[in-house]
Amino acid sequence: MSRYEIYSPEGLRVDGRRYNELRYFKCALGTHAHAADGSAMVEMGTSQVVCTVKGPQEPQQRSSMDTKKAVLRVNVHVAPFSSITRTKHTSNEKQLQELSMNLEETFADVVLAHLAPRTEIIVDLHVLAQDGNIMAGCVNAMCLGLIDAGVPMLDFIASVGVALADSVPLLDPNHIECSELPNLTVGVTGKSNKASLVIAEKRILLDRIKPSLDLAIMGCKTVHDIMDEQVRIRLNSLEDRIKR
Amino acid sequence: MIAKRSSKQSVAHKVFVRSTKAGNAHKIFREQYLRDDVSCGSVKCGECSGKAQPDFKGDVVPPVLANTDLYCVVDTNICLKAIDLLEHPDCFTDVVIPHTVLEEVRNQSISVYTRLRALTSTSFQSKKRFYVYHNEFSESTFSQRQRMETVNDYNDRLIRLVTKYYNEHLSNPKSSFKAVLITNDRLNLEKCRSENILAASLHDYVTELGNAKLLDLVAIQEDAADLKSKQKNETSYAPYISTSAVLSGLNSQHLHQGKLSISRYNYLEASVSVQGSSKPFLVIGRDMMNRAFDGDKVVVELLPKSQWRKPLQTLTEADQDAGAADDEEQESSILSEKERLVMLEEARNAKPGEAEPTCKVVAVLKRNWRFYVGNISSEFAKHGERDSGALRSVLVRPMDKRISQIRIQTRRPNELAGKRIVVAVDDWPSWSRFPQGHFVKALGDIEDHQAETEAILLEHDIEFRPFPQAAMDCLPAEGDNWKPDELVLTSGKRRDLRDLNICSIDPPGCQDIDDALHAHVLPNGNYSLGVHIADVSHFVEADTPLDLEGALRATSTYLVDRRIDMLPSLLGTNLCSLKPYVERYAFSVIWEMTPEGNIVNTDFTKSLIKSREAFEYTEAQAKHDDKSQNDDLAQSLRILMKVSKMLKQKRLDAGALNLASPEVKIIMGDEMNDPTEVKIKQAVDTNSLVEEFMLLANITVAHKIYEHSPQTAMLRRHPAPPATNFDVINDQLRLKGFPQIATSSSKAVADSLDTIVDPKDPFFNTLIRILATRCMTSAEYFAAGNFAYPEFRHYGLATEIYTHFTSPIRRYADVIVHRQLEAAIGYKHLPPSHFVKANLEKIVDNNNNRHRNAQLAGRASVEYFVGKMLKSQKEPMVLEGYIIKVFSNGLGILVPKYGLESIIHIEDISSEEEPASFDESNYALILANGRKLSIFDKINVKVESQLHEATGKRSVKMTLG
Repeated sequence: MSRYEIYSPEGLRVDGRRYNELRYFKCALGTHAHAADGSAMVEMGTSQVVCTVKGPQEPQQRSSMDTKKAVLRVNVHVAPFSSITRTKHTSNEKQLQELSMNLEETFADVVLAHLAPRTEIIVDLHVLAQDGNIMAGCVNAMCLGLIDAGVPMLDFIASVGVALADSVPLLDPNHIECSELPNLTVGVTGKSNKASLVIAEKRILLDRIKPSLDLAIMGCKTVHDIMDEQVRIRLNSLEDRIKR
Repeated sequence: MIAKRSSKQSVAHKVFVRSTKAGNAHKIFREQYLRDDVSCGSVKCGECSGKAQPDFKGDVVPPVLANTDLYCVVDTNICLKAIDLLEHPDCFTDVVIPHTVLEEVRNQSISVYTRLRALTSTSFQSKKRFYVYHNEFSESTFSQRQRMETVNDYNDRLIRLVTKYYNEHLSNPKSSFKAVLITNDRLNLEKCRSENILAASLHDYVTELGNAKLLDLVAIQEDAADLKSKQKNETSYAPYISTSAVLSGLNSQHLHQGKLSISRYNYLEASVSVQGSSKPFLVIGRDMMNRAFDGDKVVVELLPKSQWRKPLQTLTEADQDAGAADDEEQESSILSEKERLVMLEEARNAKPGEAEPTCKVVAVLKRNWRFYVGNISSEFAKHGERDSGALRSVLVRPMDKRISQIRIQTRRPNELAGKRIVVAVDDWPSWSRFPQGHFVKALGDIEDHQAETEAILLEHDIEFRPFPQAAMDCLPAEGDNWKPDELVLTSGKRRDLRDLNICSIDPPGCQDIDDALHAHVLPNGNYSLGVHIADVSHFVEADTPLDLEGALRATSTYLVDRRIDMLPSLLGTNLCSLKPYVERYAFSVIWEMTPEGNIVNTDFTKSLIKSREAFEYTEAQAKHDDKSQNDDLAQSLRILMKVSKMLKQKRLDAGALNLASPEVKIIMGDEMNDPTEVKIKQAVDTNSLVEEFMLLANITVAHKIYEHSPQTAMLRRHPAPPATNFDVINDQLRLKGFPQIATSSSKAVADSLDTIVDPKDPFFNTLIRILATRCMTSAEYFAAGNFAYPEFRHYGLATEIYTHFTSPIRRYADVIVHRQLEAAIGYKHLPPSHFVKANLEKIVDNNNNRHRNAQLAGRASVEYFVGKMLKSQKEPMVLEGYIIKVFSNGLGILVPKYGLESIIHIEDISSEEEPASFDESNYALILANGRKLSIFDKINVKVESQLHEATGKRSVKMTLG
């Protein structure tokens, strides 16, 4: 039996949330304005991801150039101090490579890459603290980073995880829930109900996917609202600066 | 559905440091979301129910605590130590369990946690109303841990806060409502007093209720002053070493860990099998065992080689030192005089060279404490005398000889004398000679039929309470009127086999018919053979309460007069049972076989069948033998018989063992439940017919599920015994001039067993088979991923892979196998919990344990009834017996007629003046009159029933006839 009461009969989770509650979500744009063209920071509970975006710019290697569209390159770095045990992660780790590939593919849908052919956009994601799956945090941070860099995009992609305790979906799982339960990461484009990213960890029964997806999509919309707020705040502050 | 965001203000953090297995420290940083909607769970409160939030299914948890004047808040120690009291219907009616407590309990004992949780799943109308208050998530009762505050102090403070909150939250000028904190922690009680929070110790609370019977259930509470004086008076066991010392010791391999098992013949000797060592380490003597119980997970330290020795050759039974308990207070040492003598004798006899490693217990990692059934030692109480009402400390002698006596406190020792009572162990401090426990309940008078049966069940940890309501709710609503639904046939997943001539063959009086068979000739001359197994997995869905209950019970237990079912009898004896003349769902394995016995085709399918007849073994045999009968059933019986003989021959050729165990059947007389006759079980050919087909089905299914799920397939293996297991018996055979048992392979064992015959005594071969069986290891369930394929081998059956598929009504392993086969043939998806190997391993362990316990309970029951039957005989009987073990102070005897096994004590056949001598190398005892009693000798023994005074256990007493 698990060490924790994952979902108590009273309806509370290990950290005191109910099934449909997000962790405290905090985000900001332009956090590293001098270091890159666009930057953002996202905190979901205690997990924290920083994103810096360079580009669109002249490709460093001509071989990776595409004459039709801009090339999106994502590098994920996980800080050695990000989890409870100190471990060194190298960027060629299989999991991280898979993660960056997934991110590239997800954003290929919304980034209007054809507007800047023969360029590349380099996205660096730094996972500073991980609590639960880092995929959702990376998607959100990358989305804000791209917006901050002024990369033309169709819409936001907001993302959140959902774990399944038997038949009950739990929104935005932390690391205890993630390690004990099968979980999904879902990304939704804008205010639509269109899931542009669905990744499942461990096996999930087919008939349980539907309620989990529903909850995750609702969660993504809430995340979208919070991010939208922050984008507007950033925009206003830029406007103020220009006026001054 | 809406997703909610959390605000910054609601986040608190819990920071603590945890040490890991590797000895590192981890700083854990965890979020806690504080809420304003945690309900107090009381019907009194209008405020909280308004705030209640629905869960995923839209339900709102209703208030539980009733409109009474006293709510109890309990702390962790009360939950752990007094769970029986909490469950008792006469006290603790409205209880608040702070979440902090629940978490702590969960970390320390999963079983207590489950029991607590069972108590909380009640409604406010029931008699016991328990509510878990999530104090750490509530704004009103959360508090940050302070600097330098220990975790224990912090938790105590949180619990006090809960008590305070309830008092304030529910206070009402009109009512006299109170919430009281129940704790035995002196410091906590003092703090409560200074903070003006109502608190009481468990003892005070129960005293207040004024029920003397309840007071007996309270565990002994040692006062600090008492403790000090005790420490001075008694010499103590060595204290256990600290956790960090254990960890570093295990890492450096200076210490070893393993499970302690105490010898059934001698309670002073135990062994610990340690990983990486082929031979178990011996632990000899009480001081070396250092308070460990049988089955405890212990850490041991090897003793220097000079103290290594061979296993004891002497019988020692705890009840021999009955007198020792009397002068317990003056006793300055842990060992009684008698024990010391035995040890001394042994040390003298020990020969160097044959020594085995010995060790001492330095720490106990996990206690294997359960309830123990016993009786109050007669020197403490006299049945029939009046109790003075004062609290007295008495010793309870457990039925299990391997368990030390347990000290309990009671106000009515004389009332309980002469009764079978259940006690729980609470503690074994190092200064105490005996462990301390408390009274749980009385089962009834010793020798009372009901009490003894219950004692057997409890001693073997068999769940015999009625099925919980939640499990019963999972049964089909139609009950006995349930009918198979023909519509399922149209889906194409279940095949209609109602036209087949299927019949079942079982022992007389069998109600839970697991299996049925059919056979007919196909147009091409081949045989179609089928085994049809009750479709239990259709009714028992995975992870339902019914399934969990079945998983817990793991097996049905057959006692002489009673059957403890694994599944409710509606399923076991009716809906699943393949009864004749009615339609039933089945899981079928169908083979096409050439007349030469080669399988051409195998098919697995869910089916709908209709059994034509339920035969008893002898009826089927008669029908088979009766040449005049030529109906379909008779013909199929003949085919089945013919094929089964071929199968058996094949199996024997491959080296399957034909082993023996002295199985007896007890014929019950009248309603009074007095057995009238004991018979050795007789086998007819039809027994082996059914057996062969079941083996074939099991093997076929094993292949299929292993192919489909190579990691999690539930299989059964029987490891080959190490050749050294046969050393003793081969030595004995050599001395007696018989051929040796070859041990190179199971085939060799089987062949050599055939050669060991005594022309004058036909039973001798069976005797050797019985003894050889005991040299073998026992078969076990396992998850396929845990062993390499060559290790799957079933030694006894001589097959490379095996599982249990054919008895899902009475074995849980078979239910799992059914589900795995369902998935393998694409009938249904495998339930998610069955994917996880760790989960399966737990099921496997539980199944192995329960299976063994059920067998032991069955045997204990037979033993009890044989004793009862002997009791009804006026004169001791003189019977033929065989000497199967020779000790320096006794003989182990097997009486084949009744399958009885017992011991002749040396005191009964010789005297102090004319001692018998023990010839160890020849396995013989030589009596003073020159009579030599050596191993395998057939002797006449006088058998009578004897009630052991100290334990109140009826057993068989043997003396030379």
